[in-house]
Amino acid sequence: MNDDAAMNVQNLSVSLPVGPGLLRAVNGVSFQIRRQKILGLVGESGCGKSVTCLALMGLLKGRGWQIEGAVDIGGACIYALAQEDLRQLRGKEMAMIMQNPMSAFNPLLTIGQHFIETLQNHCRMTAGEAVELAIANLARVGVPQPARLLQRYPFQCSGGMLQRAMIAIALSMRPAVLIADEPTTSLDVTIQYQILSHLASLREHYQTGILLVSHDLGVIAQMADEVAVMYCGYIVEQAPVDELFDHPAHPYTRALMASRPQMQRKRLRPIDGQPPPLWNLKDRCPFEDRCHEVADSCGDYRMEPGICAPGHQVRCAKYATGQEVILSELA
Amino acid sequence: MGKLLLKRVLYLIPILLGVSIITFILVHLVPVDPAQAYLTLANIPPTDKAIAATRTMLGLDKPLFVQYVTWLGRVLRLDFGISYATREPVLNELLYYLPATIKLTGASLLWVLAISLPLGFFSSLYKDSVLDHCCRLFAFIGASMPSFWVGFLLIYFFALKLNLLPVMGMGSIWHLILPSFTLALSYAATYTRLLRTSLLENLDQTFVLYARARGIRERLVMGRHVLKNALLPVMTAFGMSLGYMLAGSVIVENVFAWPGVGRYVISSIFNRDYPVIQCYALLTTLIFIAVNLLVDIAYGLIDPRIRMDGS
Repeated sequence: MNDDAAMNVQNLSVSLPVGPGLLRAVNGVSFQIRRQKILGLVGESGCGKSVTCLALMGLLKGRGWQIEGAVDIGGACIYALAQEDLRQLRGKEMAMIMQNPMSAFNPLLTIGQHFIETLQNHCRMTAGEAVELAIANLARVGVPQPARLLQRYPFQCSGGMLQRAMIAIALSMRPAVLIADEPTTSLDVTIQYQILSHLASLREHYQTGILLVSHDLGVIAQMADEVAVMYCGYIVEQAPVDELFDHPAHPYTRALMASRPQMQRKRLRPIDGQPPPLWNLKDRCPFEDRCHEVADSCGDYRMEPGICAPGHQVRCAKYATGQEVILSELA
Repeated sequence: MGKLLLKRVLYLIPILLGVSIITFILVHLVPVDPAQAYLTLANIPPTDKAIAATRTMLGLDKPLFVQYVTWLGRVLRLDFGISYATREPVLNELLYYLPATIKLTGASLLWVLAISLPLGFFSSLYKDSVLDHCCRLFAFIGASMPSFWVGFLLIYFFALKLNLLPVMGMGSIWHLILPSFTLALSYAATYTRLLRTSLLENLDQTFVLYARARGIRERLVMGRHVLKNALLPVMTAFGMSLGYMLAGSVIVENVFAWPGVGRYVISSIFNRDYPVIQCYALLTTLIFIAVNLLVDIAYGLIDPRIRMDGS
């Protein structure tokens, strides 16, 4: 494990029994969130991004969720901890920003009460001290009148303001890891940009490693230091951001990039077909049916990770079987 | 908040006026002539001459509109007339019986809270457990049994067979237990279900997940985030029920010979004691509206979205 790793995820699998079958939401996912770095997790809707986030926070409870693998933070696996110890880690060592700020706040409490409640649950401090800290943190995420925002109820605030408040609350405890599950999806583009630039600059101030989840390749390209591409619960490709965008190796990543809107092209190029249902996953490659580069070797491939360049991991039959890859051809 | 209150109080005027017109007209639509009812209760033979004289005395010979205005004028001075049966002012009579009914309803209220809050809470917390299934069965049975039957069953078991509690009447606190429980049962059942559903709905809310993600203690998550939000719809329904309980104690009061307003009104209806019926209708309306006003205020205190409406 690297010295600067804030969170280390090893072989994490999450599944849920549904009727007679098993819904396999996350399959053998491994990655590291490094301090001050942003790891981008990208994938289409329903590929297991949000479940991964909840599993990292230890928030998948009830309903028979089955979790395997290890999520280490500060040298301890969160699934080996007692509930109370895990609760103390949440919000303090690992914080989370929810997707939709409008429904994440309790409608009956002011923003200030949310702040005070969170801080007092982790440290001994008076309400006055909590408010002081809140004002300082809100100012840092660009809230013009922090004291006034604290007095307000969620229904009186815009989505952008609430998202800033959520970031401020998350960062006020200086967590080692911040998990941001599509933090800007429900905001309009100008606000999106402001929020993201705050996130990017704050990670240095707070020494926080960020897992940035998005389905937006543009956001990931701009923000992330390292990128993991998720498909059907597998991380199919993982590489430093420049390497991934310059030399995408997995057919899914390439199809995803080709489907982005571009200036010089009038029509979008969608990926054919639909992802297979998650409760029907075999051990085979889940992208096989949609892939343009299917080969005979795909039939025997069991999703073993392969490496196509230093620090560039791919789960594709082409790289597992030792097939020669000419990187210049891909560029 | 002040604006909201003022609006609610102003609403009272048209509502009470409307109810007064309806009750006034209803009483005059029934086939029995009030003058005849008056004479029968006074034990005077209803000859044509006597009826004509009574009609003049009660003002029944004047046009309906004039009668209403005269009656309303008196009502505004809190003069609801004289009971045909007892010759006492109607309002005094009703106010004499009201405390007993309030006592009964208050005790029922305690039952409802004591039963439905814990049952609903644990039923939702341990969803689909044995406890939950028992609670749902209780809610189903409790809501479907008519109160007069429950009353008789309770009397049979607890008063006659086990000899634990008095059969009927009012007196010690023991007298209160059976009638208040009878009145409470169906409401307790309904509220158990209502609270359970509302809690389950709120447990799935994003703000609960977010509260947990912030590492808030579970007790605080349940109390402050789940329960507080879940109580809102329950409170609204509660305001309605309280009014119904006050007015609906009629059956229970008769089963247990409880000397409350409900029993008094039933006998008045059999006697065609019109002034009593009218006064009762207005009184019930007033209570109903007052209770709902209180609930609105409580709602506003809890929910800022209501409190700050329009400001």
